[in-house]
Amino acid sequence: MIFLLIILMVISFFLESIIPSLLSNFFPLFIIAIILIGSMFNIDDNKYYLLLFIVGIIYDLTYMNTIVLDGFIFLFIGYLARIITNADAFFIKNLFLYYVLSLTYVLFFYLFTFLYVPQNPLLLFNKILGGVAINTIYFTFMYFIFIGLKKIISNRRKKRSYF
Amino acid sequence: MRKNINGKTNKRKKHTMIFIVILIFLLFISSFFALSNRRFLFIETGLKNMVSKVNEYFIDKLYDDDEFKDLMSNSKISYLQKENNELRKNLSLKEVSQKYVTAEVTNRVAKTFLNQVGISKGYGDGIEKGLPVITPSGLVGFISRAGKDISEVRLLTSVNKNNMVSVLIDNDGTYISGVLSDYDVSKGMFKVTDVVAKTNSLVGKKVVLAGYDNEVYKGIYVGEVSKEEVSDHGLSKTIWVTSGVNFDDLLFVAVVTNK
Repeated sequence: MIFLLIILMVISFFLESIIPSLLSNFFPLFIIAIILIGSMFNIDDNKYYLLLFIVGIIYDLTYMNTIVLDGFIFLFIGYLARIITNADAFFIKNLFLYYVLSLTYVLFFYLFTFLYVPQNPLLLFNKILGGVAINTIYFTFMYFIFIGLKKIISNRRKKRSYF
Repeated sequence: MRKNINGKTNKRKKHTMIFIVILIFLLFISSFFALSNRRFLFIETGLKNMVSKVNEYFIDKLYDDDEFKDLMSNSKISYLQKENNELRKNLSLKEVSQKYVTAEVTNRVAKTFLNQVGISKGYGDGIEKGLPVITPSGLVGFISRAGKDISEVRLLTSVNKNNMVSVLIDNDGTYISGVLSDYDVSKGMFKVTDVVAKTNSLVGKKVVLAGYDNEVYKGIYVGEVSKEEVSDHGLSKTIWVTSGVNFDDLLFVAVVTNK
């Protein structure tokens, strides 16, 4: 399951830079979607947090200049996701939790970077609202892929248990 | 039982303290790395190059930079350079020539929080720190860091009291100096202070880079004066400049070099 999560992370990682090149004024939150979906995977907590920390550092080295900040923010978001999400809950509830975690991520980054790049919070909020549709579509798509994979894997396990 | 409760409370306090210390440490470290004048780390260069190549592939498939190059050659930037060189010729001064290196904007993830973008050219193409970056609509920013095949551009919207830019206002043939010191995000306008102009209104006048440190940069179009305020007992003005550049929609840029 962890390899599956790594593949989804890599896809989201590249899409975070490709999609804003194609759409102007778009703020991507694809990695947050995968962090939330990944928290529903049946993976050991330590491995999950280690993966998030490494992905966060790679994200920082590639896209930002803050080196370790995203590593710890992803870790925190993943910790929150583990506490509040439930793979058996309705899709709408998980979608709402995705919005909550995305806003948490933006708020954290805003607070950390405010000291050296002051931002108008209303304009920032406007930018994020502008990307809600695409981010929602991406989360929905990945969520149903996860549900499908989960069913395939559980069916295989049932077949093995019969034999 | 009391011992157990006290033990739990102490443990919670300890965890809270550790969490606060980590937060302060994070803030310090992230500020240090974001603001310091450092080179790209080896692994950073590798990762940024990889993402830049992937983005370049998609941008090349979907867009054509020929139109951008045509626009650059017919833009206000070239017009001002021609006008500048005409004046220099009349004064028997050596003409200066600007050369452009066209690049694609391949990393805009950091634009929202750090006011910077990544482009697909580096010191291998003659790009150095401090070079101005432009589009046909005007000045976009300056190169803040250059790797071999990628560079980072600090956008003009990040201007503040620690990194002000000297500009000139074209007042019908005479140039008035000013300092571009701030960007008002809500108005979408740049603030230029220390403008000494007692007589006529400057609204509608062109604002260009002063180029005090390099003659090649002189005359690069920044924007147009949209508003002015008299300050300091009428001795100086503060003017507000609107740029023609859409900072939210940058795809191709040109880096001005003199090599």
